[in-house]
Amino acid sequence: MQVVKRTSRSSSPLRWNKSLLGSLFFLVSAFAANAQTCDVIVKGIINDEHSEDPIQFANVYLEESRQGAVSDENGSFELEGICPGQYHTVVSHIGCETKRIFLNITSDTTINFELDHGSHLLHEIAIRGHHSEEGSQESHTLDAESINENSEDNLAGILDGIAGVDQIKTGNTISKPVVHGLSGNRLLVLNNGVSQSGQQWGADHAPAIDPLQAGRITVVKGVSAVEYQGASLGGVVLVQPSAIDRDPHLHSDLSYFYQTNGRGHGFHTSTSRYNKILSWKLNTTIKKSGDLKTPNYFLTNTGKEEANASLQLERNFGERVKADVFMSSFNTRLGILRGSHIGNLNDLQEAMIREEPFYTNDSFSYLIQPPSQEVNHHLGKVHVKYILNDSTWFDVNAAVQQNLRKEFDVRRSGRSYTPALSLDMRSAFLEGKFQTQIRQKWLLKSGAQYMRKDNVNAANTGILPLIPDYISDLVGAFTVATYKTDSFAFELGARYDLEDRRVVTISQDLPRRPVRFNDSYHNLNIGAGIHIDLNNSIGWSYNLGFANRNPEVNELYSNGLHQGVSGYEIGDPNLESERSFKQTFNVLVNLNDRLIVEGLGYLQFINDYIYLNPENASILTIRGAFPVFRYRQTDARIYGFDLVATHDLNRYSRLLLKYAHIKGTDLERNVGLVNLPSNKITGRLSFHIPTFFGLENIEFHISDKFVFQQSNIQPWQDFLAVPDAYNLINAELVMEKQWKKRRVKFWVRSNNLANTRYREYLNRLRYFADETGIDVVIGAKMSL
Amino acid sequence: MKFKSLFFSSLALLTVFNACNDEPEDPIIANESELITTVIYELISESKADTLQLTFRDLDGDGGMAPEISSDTLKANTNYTGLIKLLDESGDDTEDITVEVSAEGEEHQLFYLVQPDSIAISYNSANVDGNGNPVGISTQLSTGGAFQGSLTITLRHEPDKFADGVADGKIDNAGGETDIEIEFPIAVE
Repeated sequence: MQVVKRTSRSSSPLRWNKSLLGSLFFLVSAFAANAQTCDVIVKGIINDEHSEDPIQFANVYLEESRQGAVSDENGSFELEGICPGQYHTVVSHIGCETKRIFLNITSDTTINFELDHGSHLLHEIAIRGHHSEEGSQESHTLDAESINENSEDNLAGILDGIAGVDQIKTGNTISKPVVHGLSGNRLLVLNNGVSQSGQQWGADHAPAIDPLQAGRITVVKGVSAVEYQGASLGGVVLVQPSAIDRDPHLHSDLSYFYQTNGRGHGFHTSTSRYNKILSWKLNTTIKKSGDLKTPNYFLTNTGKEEANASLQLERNFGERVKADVFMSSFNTRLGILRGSHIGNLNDLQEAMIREEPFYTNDSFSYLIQPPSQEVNHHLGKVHVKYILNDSTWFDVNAAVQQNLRKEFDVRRSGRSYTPALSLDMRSAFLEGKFQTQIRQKWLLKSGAQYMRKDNVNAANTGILPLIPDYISDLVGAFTVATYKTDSFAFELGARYDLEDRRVVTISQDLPRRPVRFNDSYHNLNIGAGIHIDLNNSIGWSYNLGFANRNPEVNELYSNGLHQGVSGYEIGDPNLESERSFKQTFNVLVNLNDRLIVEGLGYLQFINDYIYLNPENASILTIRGAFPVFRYRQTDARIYGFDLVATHDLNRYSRLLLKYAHIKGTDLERNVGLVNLPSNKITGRLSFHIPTFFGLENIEFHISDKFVFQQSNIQPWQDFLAVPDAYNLINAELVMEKQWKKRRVKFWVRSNNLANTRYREYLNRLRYFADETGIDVVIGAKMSL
Repeated sequence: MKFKSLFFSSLALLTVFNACNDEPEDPIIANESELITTVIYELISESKADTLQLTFRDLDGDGGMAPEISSDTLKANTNYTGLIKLLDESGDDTEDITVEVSAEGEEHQLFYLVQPDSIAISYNSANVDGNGNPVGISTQLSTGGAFQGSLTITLRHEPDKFADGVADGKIDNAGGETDIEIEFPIAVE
C-alpha cells in the first residue's frame, strides 16, 4: 500500500521531498486553529494506485483513540469525533502491505490514500511503472509482508513462487535462486545495491543473505543487467531494505514462527525511529531447526542455525545531501544429510538404491555434525546522495564485504572439526552514479563501478584447496537512456567491464609448488527495450540484450574430488567468455482487474556456454575409481515462457493459474542441458473476507502445484534416472487483529499437505533421500 | 558540473591507483594430513620362508601421476598371515596411518574380496575394536590351487559394524564411506 504522492520506490529525491507526510504536516499545521474539542472529522478516498479505481473495504484506524472506519464502494471513508492530537493511523486492505502513518491532527482534514492494490498480485503478476531502476525489463517484487509470512524459508525458497523462478538445492536448507534456468555464476544477486561477493560457484553455496532484513526483494527476469556490475546473463535478484518510516516514535515489529517439520523456531525484530539528526532501524533474526522429515524417515543431520543483524542509519544534511549507512551480518551453520557423504562411485551407487539413506536415525535431533557448513557474511556500506536539482542527482556508494565459508567433512582422527574447505573472501566496492533529465521525457543515467576481491584459502585444512587464491579487480561503466511517456517507454543502455585477475594455484604433481595465472577479460553488455500500453487493458514490451560473462575461477582451475557429487572435476584454464543473446516478449492483459493475464516468452542463445561434461574416462585414486567431469564449452539455447492468469470470481474469491515452461538444448550435441528446471503448473483458489468478528483482512489460499518430469535429459547425462512428476497441495490462512495500539497478524500454512513422497530434479540430494513431507508453519507478527 | 568532474576524476584516480597488478601471496601449501599415499598388504607364509607384498603407491595423491600397483605371486596351498600397512609418504617423513585406523577401530573396518572366490581370507580374531568387532588390519589367508584373479581391499570409515554379516567380512550392509578401495591383480602358482 502506498500513501498518495509517496513514491517510496522511486529514487527521485524530488518526490521524496514532496512526500505526503511532509505535506501533511504542513497541511495539518496550517489549519492549526482553535479546535480543541473532540469534533474533528478526518475523511478521504482510497484509490488504487494504478487504475485509480476506488477501493472498497479498506480499513482506516486511529490507534490512540481506537476509532476506525471502512471505505465504501466509492472508496470513501469518514472518521468523526476525533480529538485533536497526534495519531498513528493504520490503513490496511486485503493483501496490501499494512501501512502505519504518523499524523498530527488539529482540525478537519481530508486525506486521500492510494493503495498499491496490485501488491497482492505481486507474487504472480509483474507490476509496471513504479520501479524506475528496472526500466522496461520484466520484474517481480515481493514486499515485506509476503517475505515475513514466509520467514521460515531462505532467500531462494521465498522467490520460488514467482513464475520462471526456481531453486537449485542441496537438501532443504541450502538453496540458490534460478531465474529462467540460470543460477550461480550466471545470476547476479545484489544486496542493498552491492553485488554479493562470496563463493557463488557451488550448487551447495546458498547466497548469504537474510531475506527478513529486506523491505522488498525484486527479481528482474531481464535480458542484460546494464546498470549493475557483476556476472549476469539476464537475471538479477535485488534485495533492498525499506526506507525508515517518518515516524518520530520508537516502533517495533516482532514476529515469531514455529515449523513442525524440523521443529524450527524463528524470531525476528525490526525496530526503528525517525529523527532529524539520525534515523535508525535495527533488524535481528534468530532461527533454529533440527532434522527434517520425509513422509517415512528423518533426514539425519539436516538442522540449521542462523543469527543475523542489520543496522540502517539515515541522515539528511540540508535539502541537498542525504546519507545512509547499512551494516549487516549474516551467520549460519547448516547440517548436510549424513547419508549423502559418501566415498567413491560404488558408494554412490549403493546409496542410490537404498530405500532410506545410511545413518538415518529413528529419532529427531537438533544436533549438527559434519558434514556441515559455517558461513558468515558481513557487509558495510555508505551511500551519499547529492541532489543538484529536481531532475539531477549523484549517488556515491562505498562498501566492504567479508565472506567466510567453512565446510566440514567426516574425517579421521577428530579432523572432522577441522574444515575441509575454508575460504575468506574480502571485497571492496566503490560506485558513482548520476541521473539527469536531458530533455523533456528523456532520462539519462550513467555511472562507474570498481570492485576488488581477494580470495584466500586457510592453510590449516590439511587438504589441497579446490578453489585457488586470487585477487581480482573489476572496473566498469554504464549509460542508460530512457524515454518515457504515460503509455510508451523506450530504453537503451550499455556497459563495459574490465576484469583483471591474478590467480595462484598449487601444482598437482610433486613437489607441490605455486603455479600462477593472469587472466584479463573485456565484457560488454547492451540492452534495449520498448514498452507500449495500447489502452487501459493491454500493454506489451519487448527487450533484447547482449551480455558477456567471463569464466570464473572454479571453471578455470578446479582440480579435485568433489566428494558430495562423487566426481573428479577438472577445470580448463583456456575457457573463453560466454556470450549471451536474449530476447523477451511480454504481454499483460488486464480486464477491469477482474481478469489479468500475463505472458512472458524468452529466447536465449549462449555461445561458449560452460558446463561440466561427464567424460568417457575415470580417474584411479586410492579411494577407487571416480568419473571425470571436465569443464567444456558448447553453444546453448534456452527458451520458455511464463504464463500467469488471475480471475476474480466474485468480491471474495480469486482463481490463479500459473505455468512455467523451459527447454534448454546443447546445440552442438543436440542434447538437453542438465540442471534446468522442470515445467510446472500451479492453480490456486483464494478467499478473502475484510472483517469477521473483529478479525480483519482474512485470507485463505489453497493451491496445487504439479511439476512435470524433466524429459529433456538423456539417461547417460546423469547417475540416476530423473525423478517422476509430482503434485503438491499447500494451504494458507492469514488474518489480522487490532488490539488497542497493537496490531497482530497471524498465519498458518501447510506445505505438502498430502504428505506426498517425491524427489525434485534440481535437488542434488535426490540421489540419497526423498523431499520433506508435511510441514505446518504457524506465525504471528505484532506491531508495537 | 564541478561536482561531477571532481567525482569522476577522483574515481578514475582511485581505480588506477588500486588496479596495479598486485599478486596474491604464495599459498601456504597444506600439509595433507589425511592423505594415504601407500597401501602395502604384506603376506608372510606359515613357515616364515616367504614374505610377499601387494603394493599400491600414489605419492602425489588424487590426480596428477597415475598410481603404481604391483603384486607378488602367491604359492598354491599355503597359509599366510596378512598385515595391512597404510602410509603417507608424500612428505619428507613417512607417516604410518595404520596407527590412526587402529586407534579408531570402532570407526573403521577393512574388507577383502577375492574374485573368483578361490582364496579364503579371514580376520585375525585378535585384531578387534573396543566392541569386539574385527578391524581387519591383520588377517589369515589360505590359497588353494593355481588361479589368476583380483583382490579388492576396501577401508570403510564409519561403517555399521553391527549390521548383518559385516563382522564376517561381508561389505554389503556396511555402508560408511570408502577411504580406500584398491583392486590388486593376484596370481597363485
